[in-house]
Amino acid sequence: MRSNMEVWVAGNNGPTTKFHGFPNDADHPHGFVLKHREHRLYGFLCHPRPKSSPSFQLCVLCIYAEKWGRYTDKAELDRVEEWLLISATVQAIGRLYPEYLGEGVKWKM
Amino acid sequence: MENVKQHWTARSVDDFAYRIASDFVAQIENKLEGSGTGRTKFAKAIGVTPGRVSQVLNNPTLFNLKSMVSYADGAGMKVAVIAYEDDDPKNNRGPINAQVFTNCWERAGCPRDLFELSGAPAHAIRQNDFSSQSYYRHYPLTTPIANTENLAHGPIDRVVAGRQTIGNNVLTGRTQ
Repeated sequence: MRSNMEVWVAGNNGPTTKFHGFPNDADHPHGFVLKHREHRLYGFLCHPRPKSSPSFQLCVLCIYAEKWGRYTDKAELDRVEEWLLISATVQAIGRLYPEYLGEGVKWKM
Repeated sequence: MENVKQHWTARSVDDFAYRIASDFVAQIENKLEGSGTGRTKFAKAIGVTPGRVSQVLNNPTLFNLKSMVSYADGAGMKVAVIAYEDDDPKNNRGPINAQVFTNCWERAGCPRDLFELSGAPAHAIRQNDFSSQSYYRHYPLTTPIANTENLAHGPIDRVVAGRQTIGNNVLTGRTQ
């Protein structure tokens, strides 16, 4: 998992066998999954430095699950989308990246 | 107690080898995905079973230099073994991602030797290099930012990593 995450951190946008978002899923546009064999870490991507570094991306991984079938359990992605918006998540990210709070809300997604 | 300032690949040669083999797998899989080549077809090209391909790609420790050459060849690529210095002798920051070297080589005009390199203009990607053209189309260039260390000790343990992107191409294309 660490190796796969570092492939993402290095700037790669694939392969999808290691990680991917769900850009074509209208209900879960912010979802992200990090993969290793049957192991899955679901989370979301955001831009926590909208003023000083708008293109900086943060990957927040929230949920562990095992995937044995072909299709992603949408319930996991539903939970990710909920967590993305709750105050505790925003506050937690804001502790590391104060710009994420207050102004610049439009950049969160 | 583990030295938290060191990258995890500093723990052992095996860890370092795993990481760079994993980077190699990412390059192969990116190529296969970009060209739409399935694992069955790829397995046939390199003369092994699809199961073996999955086994090896899921466990990069199974690679050796010979099999790396074979897998790269099957994907229509070549392999270079590169030694480099990055002013990080204790490996506090981990290895450089393999795709960085590939992109640098392509930006230098894909020189075949040091003579071509010395005369190559920057960012001169060969127009007839369809593989690189295709790569840039599907995977816009990005640059890394090494901030995993402070995140790992932050107040929220679910935050794993962040990265910098060039321009807004990735930002716009993926999240908006």
